[in-house]
Amino acid sequence: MYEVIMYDGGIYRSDELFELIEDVGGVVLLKNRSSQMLTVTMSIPSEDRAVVEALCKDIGGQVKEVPLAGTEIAVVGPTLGRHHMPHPICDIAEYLRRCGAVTVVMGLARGRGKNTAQINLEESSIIGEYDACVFMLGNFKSCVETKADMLLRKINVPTVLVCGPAPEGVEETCDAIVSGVGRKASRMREPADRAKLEEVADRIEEILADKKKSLEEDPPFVHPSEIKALLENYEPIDMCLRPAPIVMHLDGLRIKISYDEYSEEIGNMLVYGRRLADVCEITPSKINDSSMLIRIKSRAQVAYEDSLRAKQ
Amino acid sequence: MATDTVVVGPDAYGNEAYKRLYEELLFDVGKLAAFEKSYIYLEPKYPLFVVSVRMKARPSAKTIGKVASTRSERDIIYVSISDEMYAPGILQALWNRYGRDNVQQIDRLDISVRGAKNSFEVDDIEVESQDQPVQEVLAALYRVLPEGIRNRRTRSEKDVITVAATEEKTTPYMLEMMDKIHTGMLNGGEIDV
Repeated sequence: MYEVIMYDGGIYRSDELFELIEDVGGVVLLKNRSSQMLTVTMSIPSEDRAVVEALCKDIGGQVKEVPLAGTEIAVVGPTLGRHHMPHPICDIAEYLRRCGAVTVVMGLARGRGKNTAQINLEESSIIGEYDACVFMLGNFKSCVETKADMLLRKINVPTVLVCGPAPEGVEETCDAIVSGVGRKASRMREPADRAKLEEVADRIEEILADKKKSLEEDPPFVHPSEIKALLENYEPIDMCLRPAPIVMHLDGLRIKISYDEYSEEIGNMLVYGRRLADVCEITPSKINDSSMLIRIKSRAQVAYEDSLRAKQ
Repeated sequence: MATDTVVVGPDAYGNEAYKRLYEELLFDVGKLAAFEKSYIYLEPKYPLFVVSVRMKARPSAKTIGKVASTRSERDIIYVSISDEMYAPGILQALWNRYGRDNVQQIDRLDISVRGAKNSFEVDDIEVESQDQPVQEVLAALYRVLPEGIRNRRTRSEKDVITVAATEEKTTPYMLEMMDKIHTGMLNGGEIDV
């Protein structure tokens, strides 16, 4: 059984940590270096956790639980304006980041207003690239109910609606609701606010657990971390200066290099003796062409495609 | 944040949240202390938002004499700025009147001016118009109103400023509400809506 934990500390002697992760048969899921500070999200065998924890302590770092590791979550507000974007959205994104998720903050182009708010196909497709979505709405019950119906129906990933009053009749549009937040002009620092942040993270954890359960019924052909290990030493990714050039999803990965230039080479890489393009769907990201998505096909899907090929 | 803020509307949660939001935003931009009373009417059904504020005093135009002390020595006027907030405005006004060559900023708060008849002439130069504080209050109120509520009407009389905002058409009912609230604030703040 593998466990996902996060090292948070300095870069001093971090090479020893990476060696130990490799020795115990673990995988580095995410590595973020900021100046002299380093955070490493890793997946390690449960029986070796004590050894890894001891080394982390020895080199002056801390070990944290990261229930959302290996996921990428979109935190979406109606617009990027100061009325919608600051405080709650940034605080939620930061809290989810502390729980191990990679988060992005997004605003809709025409999400403002009660009756005029809208989400277009491009926006819902971009949100659809993430494992889950947190959608933030405001303080008036009738507005929340109207907008949830207009905007959330078009989102096709598990969604947590975060808003002020508890809405009614919108349960079908989202997977979970966290009320009591709404539009705020100050940081979420009070104990009650922190409890709300925890509640958002808990709801995300629950809906992702459901998604994981449904994936387990017909698991991906390979685990995303295996493809990550394969791609890590690929030169364009190794040379990529963008933070977290490989981001893991529950059923695939996001790779932040150009689709047009590298998708063919990546598709021809071998995993378990098969071309990556045969066991994954490699598509350009809807955000722009500087990143691509790899969605790993399920075992049943690969077997079915094999049987079709055999018939031919 | 000692000010009288009344929020009226059918949505109890929204009223409470908007009261907090209004006071925090206005406090942040430094305008809350200038208000004696604020009345906010929120009707999200339409949606209609009316915000009316009665200021403690109607702002008047600021002259150099009100924000700085001046003295005359030979043919030079020395200006010592007492409120630094107006320093850029004073410098700009003096440049416009006497030209850059005749105005020198000696240090952060001291300016010397050549070419003025006497210090009274410099004292009377306007650095901020009467309308500017009103515009600042309106900008602060627009910050409180929801982003999508773009159809706005403004009334400003004596020391009361009222903004009514809706999303699409302004109906006679909305104008009537705005009028009722504005008149109520002008008459002491007793409003029955």
